[in-house]
Amino acid sequence: MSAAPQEGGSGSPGRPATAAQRGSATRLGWVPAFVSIALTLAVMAATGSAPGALIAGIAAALLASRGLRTGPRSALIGIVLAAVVDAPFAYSSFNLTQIVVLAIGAWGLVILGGQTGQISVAQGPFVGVGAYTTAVLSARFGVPLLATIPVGVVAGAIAGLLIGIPSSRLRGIYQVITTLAVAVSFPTLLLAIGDPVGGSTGIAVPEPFQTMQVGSVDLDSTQLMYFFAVACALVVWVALSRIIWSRHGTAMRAVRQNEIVAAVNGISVSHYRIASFVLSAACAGLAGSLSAMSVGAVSPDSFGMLYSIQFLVAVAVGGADSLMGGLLGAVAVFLLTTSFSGIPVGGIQVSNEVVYGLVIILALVLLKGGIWGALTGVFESRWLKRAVQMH
Amino acid sequence: MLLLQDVVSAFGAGAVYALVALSLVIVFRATGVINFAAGEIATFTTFVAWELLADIGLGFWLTLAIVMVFSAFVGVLVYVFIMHPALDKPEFVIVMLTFGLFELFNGLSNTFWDPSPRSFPAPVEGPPIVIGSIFITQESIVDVAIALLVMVLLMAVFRFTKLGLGFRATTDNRFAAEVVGIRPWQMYAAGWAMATAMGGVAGMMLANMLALSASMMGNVLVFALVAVIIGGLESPLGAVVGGLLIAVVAGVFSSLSFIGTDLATPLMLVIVIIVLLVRPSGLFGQRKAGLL
Repeated sequence: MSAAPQEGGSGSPGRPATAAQRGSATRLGWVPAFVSIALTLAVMAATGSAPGALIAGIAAALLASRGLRTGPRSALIGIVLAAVVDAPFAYSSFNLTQIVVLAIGAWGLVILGGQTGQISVAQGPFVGVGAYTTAVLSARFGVPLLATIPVGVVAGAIAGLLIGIPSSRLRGIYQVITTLAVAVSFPTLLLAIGDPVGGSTGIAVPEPFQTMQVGSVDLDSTQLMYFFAVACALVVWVALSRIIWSRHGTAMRAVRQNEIVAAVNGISVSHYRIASFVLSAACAGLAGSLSAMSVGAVSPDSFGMLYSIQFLVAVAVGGADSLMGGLLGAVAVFLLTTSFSGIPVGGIQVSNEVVYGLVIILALVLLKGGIWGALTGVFESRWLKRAVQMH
Repeated sequence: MLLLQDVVSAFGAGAVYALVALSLVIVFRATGVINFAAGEIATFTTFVAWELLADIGLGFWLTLAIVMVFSAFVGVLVYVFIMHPALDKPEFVIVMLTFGLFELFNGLSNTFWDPSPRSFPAPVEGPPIVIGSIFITQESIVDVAIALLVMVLLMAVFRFTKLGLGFRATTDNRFAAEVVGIRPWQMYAAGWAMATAMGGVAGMMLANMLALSASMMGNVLVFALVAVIIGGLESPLGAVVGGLLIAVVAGVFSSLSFIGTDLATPLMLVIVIIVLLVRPSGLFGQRKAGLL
């Protein structure tokens, strides 16, 4: 993680930074984050008060970044991590885990759509491949759950390769139709395989964690699962943002903007299109393994077309070209699809799907670049821009 | 003989697929949009039809006419207020808008009508006709007849009316059409109206075959998309042939014991991918499709 502050400097072209600035940020940039996490957890363990722990964490991040002159980016990371660490004590950690799962899957689409400009409706099935890998290995073969995660990632990547080789050759609407067909066939394929994958009832997955006592706070299984998912998400975030700001990221964006110009400049268009498909599906595989572990069951109907659309909506509403957009979109999609069961209007209970559909349409029509695009555009604040170092 | 029975039985479903596929082609030719919400809009208008038939007690044919007009109106609203302002946006935005419409109309169906499946009246009642050892229900004959009638009517509108001429001119060359005084948005709205009207008809036929429920169109849309890919996205004739073909293939696949119903849909996917890679413009298309 200590390498992450470099990504804005060395990786992104046209944004020079003096060696002195970079040097101090590289050496001390993550200190406020660690201080903030440590203090949040300490206050939580000592007092058991979630708001108090959050305030302590934020104060620690601000003070530490000011004292060490590490800049706004490191303060923001500290504040966000304090909130992330504190959240499961204030909200349902099961729900928070589902948001993390959605975000990891949506980040796959940020690579696929935001970087190389492809559209895939097959993200749901790729998540399903990861989830079923974890479920089958743990329930049928007794493999420890944590050991199934890398297998789930690899299985997702292989599925992405198989689907990506034909569908990355197609453009626009043709690619949408092909991947949509994958999304619709996946549940029926599971039914056709039948008994080995549990048929229409699916498979139950054992509990991943035992309850743990830390200070005066009991961490239950779902809270530990949440922290584990967050750790995975952090690894994915750092890895993906390093890829985005590497020369490979530049190549992928060149492919999105103009394939012919990219090819003329020596970029293998088809390789990057397939590679981004595989990377995206690997993210989905990880999301699937985590989803199976946290939900405790997999069933064929959960990984069809509507699930795929959730990931697409997340990047469309949040902002397709940045990881931050994928994260905000995941939060929005989760709240829209689960947090209420309808709005009463004049005696009729309006289904939340209506609200979901309207929000999608309005976000696309009104916000350029999704929520994140609107935020960075409206505030136009150097603080926020420098803090995140993204467009 | 069993195989022949499957083929004949498939024609009822084929008529529905052909109608939905045709509506997709018309919208695509006009505005370059694949309307992924076509099935859900049709489901919504079919619920309205059910309301007219069951609650108000109108006759079947009158309901069909009213629903066609109502569906066309919905199509114009959707086009004018949502799709038209977005036509010059990136493809991703347009695709996501139709998915948004998908959720919106599915939600509307779920809001006003409870989700349990309900039976839907047939256009005609009567014993099935028996030819040799093959059974043909009277409904399926009427279904195919309605579908054919709607298609012929549509072709006639395209070929012989001023509206059809304007529509063809606009899809052929938008700027030339504007120069001679055609307003493109009116033509595009007319295309959407015709497409959703056809969807309304397809919805009523399908509701009779399966049962009316909010999710009845899910598979139909996929089959229609497969039909459109096989026939060619630009070709109305291809959509009709593709729709019938896909119904027959699906019917035969399902009846073969080593494939079964579960594997029929994944096999469709294989067909789509092969067609797109080998002949991306489809059987009846001319223009080179998205393959680079």
